[in-house]
Amino acid sequence: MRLMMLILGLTLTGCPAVCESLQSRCAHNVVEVCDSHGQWQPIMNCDEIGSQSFIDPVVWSCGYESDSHTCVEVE
Amino acid sequence: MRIDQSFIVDLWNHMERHYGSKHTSKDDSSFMSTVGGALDLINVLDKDDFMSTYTTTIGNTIYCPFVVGVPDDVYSLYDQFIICIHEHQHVYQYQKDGLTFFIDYLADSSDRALYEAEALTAGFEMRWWYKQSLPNNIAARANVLKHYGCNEVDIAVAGKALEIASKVVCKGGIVTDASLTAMEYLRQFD
Repeated sequence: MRLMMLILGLTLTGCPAVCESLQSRCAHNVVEVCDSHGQWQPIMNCDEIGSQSFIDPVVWSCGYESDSHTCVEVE
Repeated sequence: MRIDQSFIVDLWNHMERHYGSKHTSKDDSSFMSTVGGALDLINVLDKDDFMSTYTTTIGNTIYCPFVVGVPDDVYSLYDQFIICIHEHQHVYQYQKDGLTFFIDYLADSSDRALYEAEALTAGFEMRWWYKQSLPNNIAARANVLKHYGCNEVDIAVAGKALEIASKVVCKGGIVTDASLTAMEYLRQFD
């Protein structure tokens, strides 16, 4: 019964905000953005970026470019 | 490279084979008509608009307000190219996340905004492949989410996600599963 009350309570109140909406960050090699609930959400995994080109496969790494985090090409 | 009828039909076939999806006419679907009526009733969307201007994907089925491979006044063949990949990203999201996708998409406008941002990214990737260009104001493309019950912050976050992904797309990178699948077909035209 107590467990059910806890689950119901968490469902109704949601999780506390841990970030400010629109912030971005790198979590290992994943780019994340802070959503409208103040929770980090994955946008893309830099290890899984594909290519439009057959040749010159590119290695991507999470980094900072202009005003946000993104996947950047590794030289 | 010119987008013609056979290109569009073959691309849709390729994507449907890969994902086990299918498309059907929205006009012929009594289910879609019922959904449109319900959305109209709760003042979310006009039923005629829903039936004529929105392609809708539920599970593995894509309900199209156009005939695939036949351009009309609203949907050019280029539009059908982009829509094919956008909607198949939603099929992928459903296959990857299952019931969670439905619940999150319907119940949480924040999650809905990010699912749509990912599908919009797939469209950007195809635009880059075809035109080597992206829209000028990328974040503004998320404004379409006003029609999806998203609030201003949801839309701003989706716009931010689009900008982040676009920095990869404009360097020839591919973020979405649907575009990776499309490339298996499109590489023959490179």
